[in-house]
Amino acid sequence: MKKYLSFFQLRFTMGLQYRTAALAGIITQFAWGGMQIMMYRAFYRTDAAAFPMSLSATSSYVWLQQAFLAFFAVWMMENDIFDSIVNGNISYELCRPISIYNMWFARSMATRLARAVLRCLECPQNMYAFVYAGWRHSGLYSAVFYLCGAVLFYTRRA
Amino acid sequence: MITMEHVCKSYKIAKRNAGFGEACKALFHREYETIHALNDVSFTIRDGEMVGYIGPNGAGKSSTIKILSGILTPDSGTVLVDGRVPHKNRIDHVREIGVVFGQRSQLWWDVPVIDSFSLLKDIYSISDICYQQSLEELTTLLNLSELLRSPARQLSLGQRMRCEIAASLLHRPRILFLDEPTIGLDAVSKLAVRDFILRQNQTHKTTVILTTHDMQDIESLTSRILLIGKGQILMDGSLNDIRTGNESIDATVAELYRTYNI
Repeated sequence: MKKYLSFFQLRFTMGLQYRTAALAGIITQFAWGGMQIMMYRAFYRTDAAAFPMSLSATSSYVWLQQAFLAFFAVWMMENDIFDSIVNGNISYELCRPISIYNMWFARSMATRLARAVLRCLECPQNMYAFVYAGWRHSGLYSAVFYLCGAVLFYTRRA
Repeated sequence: MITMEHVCKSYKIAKRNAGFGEACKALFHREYETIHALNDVSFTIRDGEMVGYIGPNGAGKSSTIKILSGILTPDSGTVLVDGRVPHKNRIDHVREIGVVFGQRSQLWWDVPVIDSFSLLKDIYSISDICYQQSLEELTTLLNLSELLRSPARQLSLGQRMRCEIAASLLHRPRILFLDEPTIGLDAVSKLAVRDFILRQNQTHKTTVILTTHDMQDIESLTSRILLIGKGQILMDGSLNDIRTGNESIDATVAELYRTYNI
């Protein structure tokens, strides 16, 4: 069990290593989430009654979706594993006294968790801004507050 | 003790000519060619021996090393390493062996080398004391103290190979398979690696099987050589058996290949 935890820890450390890539990913997700909310806002303006939940609830859902994207992005597979099969480094992996399937599972899980933790560390901070703004204004304004708050939070931490 | 008896291994390769037309044809009808990598290979290696495994390109050296490590399954024949069948009890077998593939990489690319070492410590369940001792010994002998905190991708080839060799020996294996460990290394690194392997064999009585094209490695390390060509063991003796006059060792080996027509 300890072996898999070590893999997990190593992969987690690697996920946190590249700060510029993390920042670029966060900005992309803000852009994507913002775009989705603007789209929903346009639909809500036409006919708000057609939706089962309010715009602020939909905005919350969109931001939660972005924060936890790493969990349900099925297409994001461990390219390291594919590369190791193609270039032959898998010979070394087969020389370890450890189950290959469990090792790969631990690695994939660690990569996803590392990515998700990076994104959703901003969540508690921003849920506050979001709820406050979202109550008073429409989803678009709350998204802007979210964006400012999260960017300030991240740059302060870095 | 390593025993191989009448081991055979062949690969099926799909071949076709160049061009789009040929590629379309190959979609429906594929031509295969069988490569007999190993054809009735038998030898025995005792504990503590240092054996050089030489042969021309495509002779079956890497296939033999992979079968002995348990990565490949032979088509027929028996393989026994310390009483275990490598491909059947893979996990128990690899716990006791160390492998260095010269053209592959086992260190994690982006993290410092010492992180990769810590991971290996946990994979092989090495105790803290043994790990510290091994690490100190390997760091001193291979001059790794300045390299441990760098990510593997920022090391030169020679530095990386030294770290890889150290990584393969952290768990103090009794048998060491070296598949071209000095490939691409400069003279200083080569001498360091050779000296290190010799020391391991002398102090820890590690059995070493060395596959290489560099005959100086063979000259300085091994007393016994196995010559393989076209999948068969053609010679099992020492370097003195093949040395003729004052020719360089490379010329001697080239002549040997010509004699056996491989």
